[in-house]
Amino acid sequence: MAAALLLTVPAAIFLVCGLVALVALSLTARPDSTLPSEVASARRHGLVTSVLAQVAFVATMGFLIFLATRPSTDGVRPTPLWLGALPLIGAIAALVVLILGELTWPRPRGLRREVNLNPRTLRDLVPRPWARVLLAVGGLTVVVIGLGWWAADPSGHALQRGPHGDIASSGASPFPGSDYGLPQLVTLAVALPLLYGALRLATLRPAVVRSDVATDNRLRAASTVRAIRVMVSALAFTCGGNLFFGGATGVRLYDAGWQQGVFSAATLLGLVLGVAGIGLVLAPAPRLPRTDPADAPGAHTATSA
Amino acid sequence: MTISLTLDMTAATPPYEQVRAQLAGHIRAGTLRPGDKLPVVRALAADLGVATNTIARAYRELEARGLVTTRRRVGTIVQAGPSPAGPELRNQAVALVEAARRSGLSDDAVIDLVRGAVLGDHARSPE
Repeated sequence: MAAALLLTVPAAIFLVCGLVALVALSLTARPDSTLPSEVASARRHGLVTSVLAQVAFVATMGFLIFLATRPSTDGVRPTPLWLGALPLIGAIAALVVLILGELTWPRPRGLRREVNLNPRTLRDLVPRPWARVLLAVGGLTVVVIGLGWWAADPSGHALQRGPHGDIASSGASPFPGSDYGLPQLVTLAVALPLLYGALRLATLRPAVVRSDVATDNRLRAASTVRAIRVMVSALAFTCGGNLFFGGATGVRLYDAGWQQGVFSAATLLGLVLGVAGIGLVLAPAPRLPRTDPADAPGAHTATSA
Repeated sequence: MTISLTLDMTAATPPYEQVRAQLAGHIRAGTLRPGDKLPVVRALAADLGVATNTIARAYRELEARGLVTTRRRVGTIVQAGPSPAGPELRNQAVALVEAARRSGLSDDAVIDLVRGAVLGDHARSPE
């Protein structure tokens, strides 16, 4: 019951915060009337894809949580090992939706087409802060999985406290050892190529007709951020979950000493990362700047008649 | 500076030739300088809504004429410099284009006019 609450409460918070963010963003967005119809249409395409990806992220996790927590006929259901990889499985679903969104991006039509010769690279399009956060959270996740693997007992899902003096050996679980770490690493190995694919497609997709270079690049940057934030959020949930559950198990096992301090800190850091994961997935992607409606459809260089 | 490229799907000139000619024009006019990187074949093809083979062929033709070079991991970069024509000749070319446009001539018509003049000059000059 407690485990189910720990999984469903963050999902519920995410859903509520997501709806609030969606309403807030739609109320403050630049109106479509100030944009050329093709740019407005492309922006809608990106937004719809983004919302569908978020829904896929939450729905996949929700469905898997349901599978993991549904009552069993014999009353005992062991915690599935893939539960630790739940956020990354959700991220895979979201990334597949984002990739489909990029593949269905509006193509240039018309008999006369004009484009800008500006080479686009991932380095130019991905906002630096997001790239740094991805590397930091990704690195931390791998380190935490490795530490859990190393610290766990041979069962791979429990923490063992060896016999010291008159204290007998004792153990506690669940602990994110190899049993949970391996599915996490496997899903990470699937998710990373999908992330790269989504980012690459965002750079190679057709330029938005009747958009200037800055607008087109901003729409592409928004696509890259949507893919990265899903991944960063999933990594933060994964890392946070490992730290939280591993730390809580350690605190149960060690009631004093420096070990208890370390495990308490890990529990707290896990909680912070979990909340940060919710915040990161709802962080807004780059948006088109608000301009005076009279100036809006100015010098457009990519046209299709 | 924004350098643009236009593709007319109704023109008799095949799309790859339109792309090649315009890129060559930008290189010869100096708007694309040696070392400038051209867009990736797939990206330019997607932007123009044409097959990747169309752009790949245009790039191959430019490479064959020594205007660009393709390097693995770097991409296609401009190799040749602008036309050796001096500033006076370039100014005259600009003046011709402006005068032709004022007269209501299309860009294709201007090019035909220049091509006709070149051919006529060849016909007049002794071999």
